[in-house]
Amino acid sequence: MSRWNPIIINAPSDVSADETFDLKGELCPYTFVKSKLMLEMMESGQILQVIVDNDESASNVPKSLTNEGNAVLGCEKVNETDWMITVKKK
Amino acid sequence: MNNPVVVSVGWLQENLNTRNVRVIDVRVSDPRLPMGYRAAHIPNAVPFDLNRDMYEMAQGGPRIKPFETLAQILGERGIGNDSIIVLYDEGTGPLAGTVFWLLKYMGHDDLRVLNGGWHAWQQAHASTTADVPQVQPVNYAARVDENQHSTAEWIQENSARGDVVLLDTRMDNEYYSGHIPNAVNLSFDEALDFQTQALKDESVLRQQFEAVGATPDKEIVVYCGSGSRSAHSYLVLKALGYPRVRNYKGSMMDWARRRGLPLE
Repeated sequence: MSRWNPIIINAPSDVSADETFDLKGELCPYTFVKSKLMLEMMESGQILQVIVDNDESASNVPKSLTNEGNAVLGCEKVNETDWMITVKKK
Repeated sequence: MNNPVVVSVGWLQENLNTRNVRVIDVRVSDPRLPMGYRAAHIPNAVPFDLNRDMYEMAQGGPRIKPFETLAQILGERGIGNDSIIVLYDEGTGPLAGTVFWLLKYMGHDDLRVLNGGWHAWQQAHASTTADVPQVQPVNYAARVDENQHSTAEWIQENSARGDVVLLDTRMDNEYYSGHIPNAVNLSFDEALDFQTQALKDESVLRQQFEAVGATPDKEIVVYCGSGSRSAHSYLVLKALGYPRVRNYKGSMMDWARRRGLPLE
């Protein structure tokens, strides 16, 4: 069995999103590319929450967004299949 | 056969109206995002959307469409076997990498990628349009080259060879969570300059691959989670002139999830 292990980070409880983007059903690399495009439309400092439904995306999207200079505030498993990634635009 | 793989904005501006040049826009197409081909694109470019054009749903998830179907799609968009194809995505990213690998797998000869993609085109204030070009459909024949592709079986039969390198192109946290035995790791995005969205300098890229043992004398098999990030590394290796590179398109989804093969 795959041992993809997304790193769980609990977003601060006082964080509220400026935008939420449902990327369930999207596969790599679309989850990362679309997250990045949504962030490009936002202002610096705004918060984006992205929902993905596969472990691969939950593993690589946070790190990819961090590599681009953004701050990932959370990566949480919200139910059996879905992950919520909370990111603050650089 | 030694065509440059990566072309500049200047080169494309000079050659946009050259008879055999065909530009393909492989950027994201999502009604929730106000960018992409419909909003504006490089003049004369035709779209190719991975979700609509490359994949079909099957039991077990999406799979690549039959080569005959893909060939028909290319031909309908005016792309022939003798076309000089120039791909671009948002930058020089994994969407362009995926289509680059696909077309090499289909045996296309002259295939190039715009360095920096749409970002670089806009930074150069090059002309754009929302007009959809009138194209003349042509015949396209797929000439499948299995040397560009790997399967789990190929890896199992060949990975012990001293001249084969398995290259895991995922993030390091993914690699350390479990990888194909004997694979080395270099994340695909180490090749990218995040500011310009272009590939890093050739000397830097060579040093990155050589530092993990992926030297040009080896047969390099790239993989990731589902074969698209690895397709980007495939593109970079081909741009560096590596003669033997295979993309394991099934990647970890195939190796670990479907087949339950061992990891280390």
